[in-house]
Amino acid sequence: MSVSRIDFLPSVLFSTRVPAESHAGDMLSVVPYLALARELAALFTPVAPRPEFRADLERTLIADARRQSAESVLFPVAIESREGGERRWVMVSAAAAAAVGSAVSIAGIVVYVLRRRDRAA
Amino acid sequence: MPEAEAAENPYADLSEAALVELAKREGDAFGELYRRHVDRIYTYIYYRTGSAADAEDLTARAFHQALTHLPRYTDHGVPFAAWLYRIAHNLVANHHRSHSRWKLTSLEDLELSARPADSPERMAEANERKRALWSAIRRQPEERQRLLILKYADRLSNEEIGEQMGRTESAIKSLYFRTLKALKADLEARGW
Repeated sequence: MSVSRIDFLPSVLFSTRVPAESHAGDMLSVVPYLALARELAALFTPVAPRPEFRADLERTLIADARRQSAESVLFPVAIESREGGERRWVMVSAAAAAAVGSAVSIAGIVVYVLRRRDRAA
Repeated sequence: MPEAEAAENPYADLSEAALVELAKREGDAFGELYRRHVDRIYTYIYYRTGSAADAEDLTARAFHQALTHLPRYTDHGVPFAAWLYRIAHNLVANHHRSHSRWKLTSLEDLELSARPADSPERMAEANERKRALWSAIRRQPEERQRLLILKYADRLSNEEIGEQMGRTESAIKSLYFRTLKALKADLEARGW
């Protein structure tokens, strides 16, 4: 690498806002990509949500969160049983699917055995 | 922290893990979680969708989903932000699936600019280059796009990005290098 290129590095790194703790060795490996990194830094400008949106959403969320917390204190059994109900529903569905799968497999074996018997006869 | 501020916000000193556990029982604690993460989640969605209106809509949905599912959230040692990013990523993916065309233009129209002193040809070329770069970025896998957003829009160090993405600092450096390499190859393949 030429001296002028090395001299050029700090200003480029500054403009791409690459974190200061990066090591020189890492920098050298990305030299061919510095121009691209600089373009990326120019593309991704910091953005922030509108203050009104931020405040409105915070109000709504806190109200919902308080309601959710109150419900969990007042009706813990109902919520647990609802979650338990969901788990039970998943277990029953899995068991039913397994039963159907087994029945289909047994039927397949029976058909296979019967056909072999017919052919042998 | 000043005493007045601590009195106003009793959650400010809490670690994230403690705050998450508290937010499962106390509605107001969720407000602090929201304040800590809303800007980053908004930025992530904004750069994934290219639209401020969509970013607001999906950010609101992401936090409402997080609140609904918070009672079932389990801390596996991965930052809470990683969980939020996953929710945001799923919402963005659904958003793109439900829109037949990606909204590529709005962000570009917003960002396209060239120095007034440039000739019209140079301005046109610079804008074309920006469009090509945006398209190349959007063709990258989600984790690479997230890395670029965290690095450039949020200005995080590699170490901080590693914490957010649940990876080591060296893994982030490696991912960053692969991302630059892939972008360069993509642009070159399209004549840039």
